[in-house]
Amino acid sequence: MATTGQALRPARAAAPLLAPATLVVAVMLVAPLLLVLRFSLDRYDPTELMIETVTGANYLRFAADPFYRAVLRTTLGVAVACTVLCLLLGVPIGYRLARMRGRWKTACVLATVLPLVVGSTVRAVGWMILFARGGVIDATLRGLTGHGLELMYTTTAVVSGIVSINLPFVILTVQSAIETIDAELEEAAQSLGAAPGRAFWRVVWPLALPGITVAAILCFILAMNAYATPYLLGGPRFQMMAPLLFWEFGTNNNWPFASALALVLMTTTLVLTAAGNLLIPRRYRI
Amino acid sequence: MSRLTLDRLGKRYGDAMAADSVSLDIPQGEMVVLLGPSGCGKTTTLRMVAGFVTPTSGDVLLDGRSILRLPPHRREMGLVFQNYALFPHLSVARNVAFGLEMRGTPRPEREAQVQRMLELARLEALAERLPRALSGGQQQRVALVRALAIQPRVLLLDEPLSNLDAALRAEVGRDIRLLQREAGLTTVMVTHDQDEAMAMADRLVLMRDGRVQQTGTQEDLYERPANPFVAGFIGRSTVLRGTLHATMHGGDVFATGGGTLLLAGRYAADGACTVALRPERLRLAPPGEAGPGSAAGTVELASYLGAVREHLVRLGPELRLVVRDPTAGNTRLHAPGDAVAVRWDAGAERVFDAADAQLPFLHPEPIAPDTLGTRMTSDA
Amino acid sequence: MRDTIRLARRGLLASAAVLPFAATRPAAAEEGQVVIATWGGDYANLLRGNVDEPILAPEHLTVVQDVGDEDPRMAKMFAQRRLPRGSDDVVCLQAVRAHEANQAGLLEPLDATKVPNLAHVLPNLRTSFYGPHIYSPQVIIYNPDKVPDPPKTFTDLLDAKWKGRVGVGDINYFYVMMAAALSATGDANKVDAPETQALASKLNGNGLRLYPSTDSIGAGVKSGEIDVGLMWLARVIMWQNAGIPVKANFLPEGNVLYLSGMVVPKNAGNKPGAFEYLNAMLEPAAQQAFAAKMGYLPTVDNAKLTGKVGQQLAFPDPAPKLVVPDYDITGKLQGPTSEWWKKNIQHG
Repeated sequence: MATTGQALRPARAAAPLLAPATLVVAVMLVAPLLLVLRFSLDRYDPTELMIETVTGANYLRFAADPFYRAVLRTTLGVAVACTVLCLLLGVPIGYRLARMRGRWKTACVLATVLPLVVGSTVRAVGWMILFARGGVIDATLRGLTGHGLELMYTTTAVVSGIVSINLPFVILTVQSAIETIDAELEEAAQSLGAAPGRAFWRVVWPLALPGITVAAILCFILAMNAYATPYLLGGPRFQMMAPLLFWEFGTNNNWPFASALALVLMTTTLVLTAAGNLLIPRRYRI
Repeated sequence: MSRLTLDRLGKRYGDAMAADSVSLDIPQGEMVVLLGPSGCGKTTTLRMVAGFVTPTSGDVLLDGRSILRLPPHRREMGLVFQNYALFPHLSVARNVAFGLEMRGTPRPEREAQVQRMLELARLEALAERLPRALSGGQQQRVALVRALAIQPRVLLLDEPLSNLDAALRAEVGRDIRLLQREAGLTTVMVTHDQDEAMAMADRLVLMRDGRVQQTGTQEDLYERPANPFVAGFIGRSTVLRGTLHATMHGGDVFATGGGTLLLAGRYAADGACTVALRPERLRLAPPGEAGPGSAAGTVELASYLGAVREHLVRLGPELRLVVRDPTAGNTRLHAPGDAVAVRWDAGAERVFDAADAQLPFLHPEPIAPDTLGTRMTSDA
Repeated sequence: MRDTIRLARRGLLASAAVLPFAATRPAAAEEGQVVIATWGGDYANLLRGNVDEPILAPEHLTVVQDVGDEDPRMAKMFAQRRLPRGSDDVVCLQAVRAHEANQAGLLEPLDATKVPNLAHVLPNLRTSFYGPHIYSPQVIIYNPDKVPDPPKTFTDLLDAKWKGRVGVGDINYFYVMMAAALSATGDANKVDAPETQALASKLNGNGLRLYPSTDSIGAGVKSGEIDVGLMWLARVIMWQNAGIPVKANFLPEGNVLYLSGMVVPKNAGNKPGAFEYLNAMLEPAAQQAFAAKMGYLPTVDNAKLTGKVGQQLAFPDPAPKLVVPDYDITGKLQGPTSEWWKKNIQHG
């Protein structure tokens, strides 16, 4: 009993210090979320906007309408594709970066971080210049082969755009995970007869898996919630959840339905993230 | 199990030679220790043998065949690291089995071999533990048998004892030596610790600035150092640079740091040279007894270290000698300020000329004490 | 100054949920200041250069621009409806959105006693709550370099030879639907009629290209992606001035007017200032400037256009049929039409 009391004492002493932080988190994070949850149960009215009530009509509307389900499917497809591509590109690059030394490393890390300084919208505009009709890719191919390639407003454009935005996060996360793995472990594996690739899979990969999982989850969440990229590179015909819910919110002023969409998106993301984590062997889970 | 040959092996990084023309021939079953201060090129040399560093010149041969083109995983070298480099996500048994798995050894054979190795390392009880649950000594034993399990052609040890505390160091060192000898493994070990090197090696290679200074047995390096660096590094001799004055009779006179030593021998040289004196071969005597192999001074520091007594004796403004004599002898610990004479025999001193080549020792002819006195005062 | 505008804009979305409960206008309460919620870009710059600075600055009225898109602007007005004092004094809206806001009871009634220049507004544009600022008829546009025989009517666009060559602005969906309604039913207001929707779907089926912004249509014509489209006349003139090969044809079935203007919210903090602002933007000089720079037609009868802009904006003979939608009807159809468009045209 006495020991328990003693153990509790520092925690109790720290409580007043933590209170402001807890309050900030509650106000900044939890309160808006609860508000969104509350809104999603309201009813929309063209002149009154929101009529306070408790109804599941907004969620039913989403579930019943194949259009909205298709949008969620597209969003999921894009997010999964982006996550897979980001890992395929990000793990080798992150590995390389982690094993680099000296001035080159600084330069390469800087080159990875630098795109983050440019906002996602500006980068999307960059991609538009590349992808547009008469843009860099189209013009080059037309000059070389006689046939242009219009990528603007295609799934390829959206996925490329999101991958370019998420990749630095994935690379840096993977890099920091791999940096904690001593390079001597790979040399040990090689001296024991494992070719470099095999040494990577048998030693680095399992040890880096928690970090790679974090990277994948980060990438998946960012892709699920992508707004500017699908809007700018996907064009009006490309439907993803974030632009759709903003359109419901901003253009239609239908806050209840937009709130329901937001919660559907958030729940789907959370459930799939948890499910993905379950696929990882227990001892590597985060 | 093979003969390992390093033929003028070199590694250049920019303008710096990390290893410069390192040649070495290690017959089957011999344990060679590369010794030297940090940055001397010993680790680079080891990594070139392992295949993790590509030499810029020279060759590495195994049984007369160059292995330079082989990648590390095909060189069949057992490698043991300073930090053990055990796979943290695999149990002790899986760590030991790793190399056999990579070779596709069938399971029954593999398990038997792992069992043998664990017994060898006295680790059977810890087979299913993860490495982090083991002590440092246990971890290094796992690392050692992991390397031995693949029956490597050569065993490479990179500072294997440096992360262990003093007591464990001796124990694991013995384990390594016994296992290596039992398996008859051609072995290269790298260390910066000369005691460790002396204890483990069949043969020593002392390196400095990328170059081999001397190769030989412990006795070769101790008794016949090739240059002042070897003399100073092995046995921690006191190395003094000064001027040699040849004499007709008695030992030559060596002047440095404002003092003089009357050497035990005569040398066929005159002028700038280097003298190395082994502290454990010097002894303290009452003042006044001058003669070949002596110097007069004052005790500055005195310590009783158990097996030995250590005195720092000041012979001139910038000239000090360390004298280490066994406590078993019938001398006593002097007090600072005591006037003493330091005396030694031919075996305690090594003299090198200006080009760092050792000068042959010539026995002094007996001289009259008064002549000596004149010389010494005139020089002081 | 710029920073406060951008902050206000960014703050809107973040604080939208809390806005109904909080007043957000401490600084703008001074008498000599009027806050106008407007689009950014050329429009805002022209307001500053032709209304704020030459007309209102000498009257010691400082103008603060609250730059943003129309939808958030509307949302903000709705959200602030119960506050005694809203954050904007003048709100720029298209006519149909203004009618929506008026039906929701958000707008201050306007007349010539409050805004004297309203007396000059063209009769077909007059309402009791709106200060019409600029207008332009929707026309068929085409690239004269590539189209020797341009389409004349909406149904001409369904011809297979225009497959994948026709572009419209996704944001202008309601005007496209009104053009379809004019063609299908003869009534621009019947955007929800099955015939209208069928006609729009047919156009969509002919490889219709949707552009996310009005400017990107011009870029589409310039790059050769499309040869034909629907756009307001004003943009055609802007693009011609920018060297884009484009010409306009009036639709014989009628040309819906794009009409944009300003309203004063009931809870505007500085109503006298707001009225003064509306009066200033109706001044002939200001109206002529918008015609010259943006190609929009003046909404007043006393702003004569001369010179190059006079020629560019001169109507052909016989005079084209200009159609002002019934905003009371189309206002109610905004929501359903937007959803129909999203599901059947965008997703079609």
